Amino acid sequence: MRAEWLLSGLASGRVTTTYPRQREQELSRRRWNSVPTLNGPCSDTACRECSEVCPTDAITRVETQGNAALRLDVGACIACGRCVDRCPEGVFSWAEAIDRAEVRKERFISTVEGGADQ
Amino acid sequence: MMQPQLAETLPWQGWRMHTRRDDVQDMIALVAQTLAGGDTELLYYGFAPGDGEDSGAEPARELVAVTMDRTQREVVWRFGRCEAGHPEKSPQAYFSSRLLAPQSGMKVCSEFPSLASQYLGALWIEREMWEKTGCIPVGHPDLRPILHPEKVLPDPVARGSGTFHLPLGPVRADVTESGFFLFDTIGEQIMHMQPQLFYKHRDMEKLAVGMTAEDALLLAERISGTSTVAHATAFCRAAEQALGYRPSLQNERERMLFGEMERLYNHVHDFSQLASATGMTVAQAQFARAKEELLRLNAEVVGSRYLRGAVRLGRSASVDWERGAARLTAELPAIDRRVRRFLRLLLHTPTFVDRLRPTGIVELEWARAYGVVGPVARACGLAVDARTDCLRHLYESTGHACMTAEDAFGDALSRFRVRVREWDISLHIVLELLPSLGMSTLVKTELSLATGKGSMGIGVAESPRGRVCHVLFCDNGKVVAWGIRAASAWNWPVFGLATANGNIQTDFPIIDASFGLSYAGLDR
Amino acid sequence: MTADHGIHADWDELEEQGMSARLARYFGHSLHIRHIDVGSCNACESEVLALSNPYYNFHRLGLFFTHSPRHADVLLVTGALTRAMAPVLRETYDAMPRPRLVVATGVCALHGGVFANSSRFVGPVDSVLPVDAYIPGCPPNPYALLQGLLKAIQSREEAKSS
Repeated sequence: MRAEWLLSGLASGRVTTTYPRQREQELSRRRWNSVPTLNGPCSDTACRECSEVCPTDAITRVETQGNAALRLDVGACIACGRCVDRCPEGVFSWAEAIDRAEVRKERFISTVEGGADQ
Repeated sequence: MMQPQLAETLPWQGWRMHTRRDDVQDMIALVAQTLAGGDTELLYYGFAPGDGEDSGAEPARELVAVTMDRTQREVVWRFGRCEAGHPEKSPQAYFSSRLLAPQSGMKVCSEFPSLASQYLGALWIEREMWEKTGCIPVGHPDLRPILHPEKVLPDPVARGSGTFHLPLGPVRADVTESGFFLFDTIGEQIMHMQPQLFYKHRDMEKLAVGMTAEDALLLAERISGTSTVAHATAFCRAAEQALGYRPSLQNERERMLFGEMERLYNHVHDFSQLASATGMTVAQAQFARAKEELLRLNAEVVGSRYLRGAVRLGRSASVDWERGAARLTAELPAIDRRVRRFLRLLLHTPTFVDRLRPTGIVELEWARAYGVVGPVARACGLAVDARTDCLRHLYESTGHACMTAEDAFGDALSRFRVRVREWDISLHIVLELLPSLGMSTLVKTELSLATGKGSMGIGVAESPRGRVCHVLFCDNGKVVAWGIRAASAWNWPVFGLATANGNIQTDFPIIDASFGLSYAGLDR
Repeated sequence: MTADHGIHADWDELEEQGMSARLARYFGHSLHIRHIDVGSCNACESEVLALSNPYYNFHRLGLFFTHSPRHADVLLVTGALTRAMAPVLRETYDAMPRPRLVVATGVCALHGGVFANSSRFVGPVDSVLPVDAYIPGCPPNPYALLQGLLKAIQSREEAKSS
């Protein structure tokens, strides 16, 4: 029995990730829907779809000088994926960097100025 | 109140539903009587939403109990209105000296006869109901506060020379959820153990009131993170019934598949925890590895490691099944081979088997009396499985059978064996269901919430820990009241009894791991 | 299982970032983590536990779980802080020796997530304790957890220099 246990440990191969060292290669293999990201400005200033479907108000549209800026707070996002699914313009997509962590909370907030055709 | 056509909705096909309104005394008596019969199970018990006619300061309370008769194939909703309070009685008058007085400031609104005095499964439920509303279950054998552990903790029971009281938690060794356990011990022997939970009570049922069913589904997914699919499925079935939406077979097949994928990673996690509790580090690491592989497989198929967003209200998941099926059929056999190999090794290792054998025994009478569910019940030889009880026609084609333990002693080894057998059957169901998903095109129907009317629905699903039941009352597509009964809610009261059933302190981690209970599911 | 590329290679990488020097200076080469669940749904716990499985094997970075807050360098907080857990969290934090780090894990600890409007929810963890690193996600995956722990050590350094 003991021999079998010993053998079982030896023959099962090595699986450990090389995460901090080869971060790029490691993450490029994983496409987990972890957090969304903002791809660019939204041209439809009247559309409120994303901020309305967001269950935790992580997405807000702030009106500044006639421009509808889009604000995404990843720190409040539950990754439900509604914005990714619903946005007709494809402004949101799943982030490639799935290992997002910050020292300050404000860094989770990304903003784009809205209205490409203002 | 509109009655949904239960028999026509898919998960309950062939079942009859009745709604009965009785005097509260008769209602409790009838429920207790049917439960004593043996073939009937209590699915849900709690307060129904008020009918909005609250004239005075005291809201009118209505009780609801949903029972399921397996042989008659019928579900009965029983309603009973609580009697008005007796202002001449002081709150203290309700409590005998043995019991704790109610918390200061708590009003006595009204009273109802206790179901727990006849059916022990309602013990914790009625304590919770009392503390939330102030309605007193008259005759409750053990009425103590349960919801506010920051204010009231249990008192030790055993006294005398040589007895020790050992508090454990809420912050405990290892990475676990928060809960408090009070052990009364004499030497190493555990004489009595009282679990105190609800540290993580988030008041989810109330939080959902006024939400749309779609938003409440996000909450349902987060009742118990490792039973996401089971809770989401039960919620969706309840909501679809309440909103008059008819799910498709295709849709239900998908949910079954996700449910079994969830069972696979949960069972392998339980194997890993049990191996860790018995000091089998090689097996622990290997099972943890298999769990990670299954989680990664989940993410590849659905996008979420915990299958979040997979079960959707009124429509299918947006999953590329051709690719998903290919990945699952390619990866699962290798994982299965490795898991089987280590399960076989464990079952042939005397140090492992001997630690589990007479540990944490759940007596058959307790399992019956408390309405225990899931692998814990099946380890006692009770054939309790929502998949064969009320979803049989869905699982018929997959060759699923209820897996009770071969030698049902109700101990940790029996629970382990039940999970081992379920691992096989779950894997079989996943592989069986895959072709039927890949071939057919998805029926995508946009859900229209406008069809909802003042109505109710009940949804049942079998989580890895046992039967999960959601009761939903809707009006105009908005949630009016929501009742959650997680699998662990039925098993927690028995956990304390099983721990004190002739075990010593060092058995506790094994009993804990073999029950595999969810704290978040009970606390909600 | 991590025979050749484990400890040394990753430590070299950390060396480049000056991380191991920081670890050595403040925490004696290793970091002991006390996890506390203040009201999560159990998915975060499952991911935290995954750190010790053979895939992530966080011990190779000098990270370990510890049973007692008295031995802990890092408090890893998961879940939406409930009324019942708020005093417990405070007590656990007070029991930790200095220097100590707090890592808020998952959207519930950062913001409240879906539980933000619950009557039992106290507030984000940083309204109660000073937080050194934040990890978003519902639940955050193990890569994000590793990143967050490394960032926490970095934040200590930043705070010292400023």
